[in-house]
Amino acid sequence: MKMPLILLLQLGWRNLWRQRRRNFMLLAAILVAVGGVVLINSLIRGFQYDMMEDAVENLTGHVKVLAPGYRDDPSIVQGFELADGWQPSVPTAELEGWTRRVRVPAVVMSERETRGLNLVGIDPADERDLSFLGTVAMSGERLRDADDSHIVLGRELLTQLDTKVGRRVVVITQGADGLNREAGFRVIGAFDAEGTALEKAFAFTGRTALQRLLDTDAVTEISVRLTDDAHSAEASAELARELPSLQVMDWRQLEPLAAAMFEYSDAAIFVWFLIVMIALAFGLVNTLITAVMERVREFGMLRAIGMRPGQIVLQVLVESTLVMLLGLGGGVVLGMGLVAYFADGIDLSAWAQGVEMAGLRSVLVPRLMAEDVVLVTTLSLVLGLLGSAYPAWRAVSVKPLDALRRGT
Amino acid sequence: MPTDAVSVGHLSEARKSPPLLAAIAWRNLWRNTRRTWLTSGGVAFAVFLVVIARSFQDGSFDVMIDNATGMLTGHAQIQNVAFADDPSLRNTVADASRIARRIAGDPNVAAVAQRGLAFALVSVGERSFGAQVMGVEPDAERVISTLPALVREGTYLEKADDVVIGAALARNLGAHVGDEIVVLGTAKDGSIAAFAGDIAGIIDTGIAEVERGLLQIPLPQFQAAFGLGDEAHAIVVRVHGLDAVDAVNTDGLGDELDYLPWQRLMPEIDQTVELKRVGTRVIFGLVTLLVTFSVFNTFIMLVYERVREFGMLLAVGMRPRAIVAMLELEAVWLAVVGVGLGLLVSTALVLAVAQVGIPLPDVGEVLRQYHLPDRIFPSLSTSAMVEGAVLMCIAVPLAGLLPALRIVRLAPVTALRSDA
Repeated sequence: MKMPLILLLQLGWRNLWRQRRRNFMLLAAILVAVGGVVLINSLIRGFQYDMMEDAVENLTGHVKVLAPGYRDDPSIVQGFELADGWQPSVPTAELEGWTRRVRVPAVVMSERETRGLNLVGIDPADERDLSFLGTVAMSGERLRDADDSHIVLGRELLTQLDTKVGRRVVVITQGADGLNREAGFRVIGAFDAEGTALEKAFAFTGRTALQRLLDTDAVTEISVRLTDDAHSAEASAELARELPSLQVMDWRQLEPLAAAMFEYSDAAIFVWFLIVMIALAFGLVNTLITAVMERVREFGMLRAIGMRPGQIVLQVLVESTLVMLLGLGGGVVLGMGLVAYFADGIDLSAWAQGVEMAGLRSVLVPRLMAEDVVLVTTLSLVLGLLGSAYPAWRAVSVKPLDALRRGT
Repeated sequence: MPTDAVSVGHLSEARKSPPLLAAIAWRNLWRNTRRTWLTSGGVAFAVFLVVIARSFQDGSFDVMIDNATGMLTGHAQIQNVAFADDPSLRNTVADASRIARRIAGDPNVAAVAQRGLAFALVSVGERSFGAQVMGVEPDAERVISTLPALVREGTYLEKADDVVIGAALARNLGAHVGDEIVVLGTAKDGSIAAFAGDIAGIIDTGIAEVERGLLQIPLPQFQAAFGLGDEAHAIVVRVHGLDAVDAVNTDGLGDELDYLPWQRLMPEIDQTVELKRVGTRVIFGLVTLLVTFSVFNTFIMLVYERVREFGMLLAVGMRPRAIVAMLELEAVWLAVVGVGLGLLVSTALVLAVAQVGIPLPDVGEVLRQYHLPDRIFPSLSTSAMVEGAVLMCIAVPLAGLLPALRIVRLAPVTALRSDA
């Protein structure tokens, strides 16, 4: 006897309705598990990509070029000069933006207080698409151009220095000749980086204005932002070929903490999925086994009238796969619904400092990724098939005659 | 079926005697061994999960808090109330030595150290950097902070004009042990504060962020240079055991001073712990929900299969309520088996792993930055054991109740006729 698959499907579908309460509960469990996993995955992805973007935006870029000695001795002495009209040799389609900066340690003094920080000379126009400076909230004014000799400080630093926008501060830093420079800067703006450490770590002024103060034409870094992190390795290699005497580093090397957390998140997604699915598997196997054991007589009869063992196995698999598919479909929809519901983000500001230490933003926005949904769906189907293997084997392991003789 | 006979035969007694009902429920549970193991396996997995997760977290949190407070911050500090918001030189603790002596007399306190804090320009030769200058009592620091033990080159503070600096700062300044170092800042009265000394030692913490601006000098020299009297900015307290931090007697500190336990000094540590606990709860909640579904389904199947048996029991005079009670007892047994199994396996695993610890992958500064050790030792979380057990012992009977309640609507005759 040959049975076309369509018939098996029909039979399977009807069999499901024979025990609708039980199958409905199984469906609900799959729904909750898949929906939950999709939401949790999206939250972890949201966290992961926020962290990478923050790492990249905190003046790092995807790839950075430094003088070899700069990381040990971050001063203008470790600067390098770029030819006029130099452009990074990264395909324009992959390039989001790039800039050169002068970043030197400096001491800032107001009338009352003294603080240490990194003074960064920037090209304001370049930074717009490149770093947090493009989007950060500001009070007062932004820097006009690379020649602007005013200074922009963090809001928190302004409070600590006990000064205001419009007042002057004195900056002491080391010039290209190794001697100290002291200069007055007027504060024209304060940036508000939501209370993060950035506010205390950085002050900004125009690049050429800072170069004049330091008596140099050199810069200390080139920062390149790409359209996608996937191009980082390629772009690093390209830049290293182009600038052989300099050190090319991508954000993973510059921000090892963020990179480690990024890798860890990939693993975390898999672990959470496994945990939830194991919890689901107990109920799944349980229900499927019962469904088979109840029907031992039925299977015996089918065998007696000539159905092949393989076809019976197939039928059990078809039934479990149908439930799994229904649950998966519904679960993915549920998960997407939850992601949409939380689209404005989950407010974590109650744990603000812990959140910052963990590299999170204070509002966590879930990020649904198609490949995660595919992964969850595929693995769930595999799991469903594995879970029904034992019940299916039970269904054919009873001899037809014994099965027919059984009481139940 | 012989098993049915057992329950029917003892029926009259069962009504009077709950222990017998419990015994019957126990036997009923093992009529379908496979199903019982699968359902209680789910329960066990949930309990196992929460105990393991929390034991590992608790183990790493204890070390994290210890490392974080031990390096510099201490378990608590006494500061001027204004200092937390405005860490400026003028917000001092007056009469610092008297207050330090008083706090040191508290039986909960293990050690006390006074510190002065100021930001200043530090120069070696032509090079200058900004640094957080710390005036310290060397002998007290040796007890309260791990920094003196981390001196890589030279010695910790011994003479009056000794200075110790962080390795990153030394690198930036191009400084070595024995070099003269000059500290320039603003004194409390607005005049210039100056101090010159010799580098006695270089501290290597492995955390660039800490040591880039780290510089310590003896407290008396600090007070003299910055125009302070018997004043300090923080009185650092170390207690006997973290729990004692709230037991320290802080009466009589006055309105000017604040006693800040580590949770307020390092809110990020406390909140990280809290955040991870919330994460564990979410996962455990989802797993519990799934296990509840599984139990619910088990009881739907179980009630369905035993309709004839229940019909018979009803026909010979057992009250529906008693049958529901019996089913609920089966659910309780199921929970007990699952919880017992889960606790057993997780406890064994935690205790075994606690002997050797689990090495964390070495990712450079990451672990140190998180104040984590390179190997974590789980510490068995009894609170998780209780929480998991209680939750399951509530959830499982609750999940079984709804299907069991169908018995109440069961008419004995139709039930007996049922062919299931």
